[in-house]
Amino acid sequence: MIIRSFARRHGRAIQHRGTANREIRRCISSMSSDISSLDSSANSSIHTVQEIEALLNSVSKEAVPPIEVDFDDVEGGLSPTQLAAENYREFKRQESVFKKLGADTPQQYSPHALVNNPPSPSDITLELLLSSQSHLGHSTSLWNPSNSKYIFGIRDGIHIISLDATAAYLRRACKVVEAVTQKAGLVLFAGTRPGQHRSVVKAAELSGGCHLFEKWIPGSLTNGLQILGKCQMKVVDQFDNEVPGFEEQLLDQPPLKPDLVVCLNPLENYVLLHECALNNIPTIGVIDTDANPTWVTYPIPANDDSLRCTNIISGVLGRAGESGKLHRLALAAAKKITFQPASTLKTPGHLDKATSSSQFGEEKIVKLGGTIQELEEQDRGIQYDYKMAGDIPPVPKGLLWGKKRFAKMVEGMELGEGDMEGMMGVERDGEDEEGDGDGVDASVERAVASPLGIKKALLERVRKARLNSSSNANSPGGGAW
Amino acid sequence: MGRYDFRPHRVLRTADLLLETSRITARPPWYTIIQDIPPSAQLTRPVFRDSSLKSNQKAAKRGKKASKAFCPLPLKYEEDKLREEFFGDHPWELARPKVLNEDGGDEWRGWDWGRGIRQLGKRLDGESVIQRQLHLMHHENHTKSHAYDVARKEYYHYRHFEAVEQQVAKEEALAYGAYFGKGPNEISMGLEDRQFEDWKEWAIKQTEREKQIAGAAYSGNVEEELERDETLDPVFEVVGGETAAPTVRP
Repeated sequence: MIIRSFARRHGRAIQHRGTANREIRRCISSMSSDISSLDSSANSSIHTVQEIEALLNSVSKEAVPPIEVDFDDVEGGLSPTQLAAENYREFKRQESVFKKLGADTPQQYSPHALVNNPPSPSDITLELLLSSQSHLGHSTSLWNPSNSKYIFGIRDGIHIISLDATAAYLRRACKVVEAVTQKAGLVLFAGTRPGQHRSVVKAAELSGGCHLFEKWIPGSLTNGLQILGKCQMKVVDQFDNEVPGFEEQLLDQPPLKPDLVVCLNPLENYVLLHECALNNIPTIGVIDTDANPTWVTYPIPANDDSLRCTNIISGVLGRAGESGKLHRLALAAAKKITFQPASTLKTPGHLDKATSSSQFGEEKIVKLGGTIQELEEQDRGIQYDYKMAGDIPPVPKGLLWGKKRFAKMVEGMELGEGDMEGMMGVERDGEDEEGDGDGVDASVERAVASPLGIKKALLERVRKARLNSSSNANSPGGGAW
Repeated sequence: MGRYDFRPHRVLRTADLLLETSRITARPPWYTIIQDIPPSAQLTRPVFRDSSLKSNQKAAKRGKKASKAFCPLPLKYEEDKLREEFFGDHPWELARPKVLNEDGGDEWRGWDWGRGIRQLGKRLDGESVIQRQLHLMHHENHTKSHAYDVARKEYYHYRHFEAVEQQVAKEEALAYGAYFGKGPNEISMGLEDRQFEDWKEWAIKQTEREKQIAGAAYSGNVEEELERDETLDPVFEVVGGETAAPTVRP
């Protein structure tokens, strides 16, 4: 029975397809004769009106004046096509006049706007959070009592998250993200629930970080040499432009680790958060009433099941990262560096004067300034002052020597190059606590402005991009993790 | 590790230790930030039930556990009772479609329930009655029942107006040649008709067949007759110049 009705239905469709062309042809021919038929119908209606007039005249005392129709006037000497064009023009004119009238519905919720143009931290309001359902928690029986600080009350069997707490914690997280990107830290945005990938990629793009919208591969941090060993890294300068020539050195570099991790769904990403804890990486997480807030460094109590809510949170954090990044770039344009250069990299081609000066320009090549006495004096103190010396011609030998000194000063210890390498080897085998060289000195920013001291900075930082990820093309700002 | 893992909370302290023991050579980029903006205290629980209140003392006497003092309390509002009353009297108001999606969340700023039951940007529904009633009770000194009557009757008026408006709009559209498609009843009737037609076709054939069997009972071999019928099936119907799928007779 089913097969038969199926056949019948499709048979009809086939028949219909056969006749469709014929239908269209018939329609076209009837359209062309429409105008003439309209004309004839107008004539017939005028006849009807005249008949009604005659009837009225016969019944009533007062004679109804007859309708006067001058057929030539109606046409106005225009052909039917011209008349239609005239009417259409009039219609468009009226539309332009009247279309502006009527009700206006401003401020409508459009889901894509949250992703394409996310709100900034200053746009966080309780109304915005309320309308994005950030206050809805889970059933009271599913709660984690650690979250009682963030809970406003119970309504209809679910916990209601306090909007004040959400806004306060979100603003705090924004400050952290902004400050980290200002110090050129690498921020990883992770949101692995379906529908979160666009906002996560956008946030990473804005803040110049990395994104993760698929499964976190366990061990990417604790066993990074095996899992991320073949991923591509690149060296960038203070303006985030790639600097070529480091390919050989990068082969020996340990895989990169993020400096801050933002997780939109901690419940599914416990492994990621645990690895961050092992590697001493601070984390920001959206904590619903059933999640454990001790998994993350900075919890944001909010509803992680609402895409609108997580979109707002990732968008706001992405905007915060963007403002930090822009601030860093502005300072870099003013020849101030807010971050600590990579200490494990050597400027390539330092033996060749000509290439190094032409390739990297004078402003990136810096040298030691002052006398040996000054240097020794600086070594004694804890505060170090760095200054870029764009006006001083590059001296590659001094650069190499200065790099060693630089490494020493940052550590605040008297270690030889060989000692450092030995130490690093141990760490690679052990817990792998060695940073990627993106470390920051507390006094760098202050020191940069100071005229005193050693004029030395190697301005390369290491960035890594994963090549084999399909989503790499989506985010020019940051590679997929 | 214990019951809780406090390592995420103690990143700064750990970083200090690592720096001290020269496990890391440089301060991480977040070092100064976490100094300035430390993570908030964890695992603290506020007291929701204040034992100094009389009602809570009663609850304590009834045998509530002391740990209940840290459990969040149910949220109760004055509107709840009014909602219960209105939707108890008008249960079908709950069946009307309602948009739960909010735009900016601050549409209520433009509303003034003193002006009447209709507000700008708010669809007229049961919630309007409750808000209007609440306003009348609080600001115009109406009793609860009187305020309910006033709000309810305003609601009836505008709901009637809306219904007439919709009906007129529909009739107008139909008069200008609008077609709104088949209604649910028409669709279901069509489906039912098709089943009847199918059954009719099958029944005619079945009757013929039974007649044949009945006739064959008096002459010839029934088995042979049946076999010949079987060989006819399945029949390939030719529709629209193409061979359709074989159909199986019921």
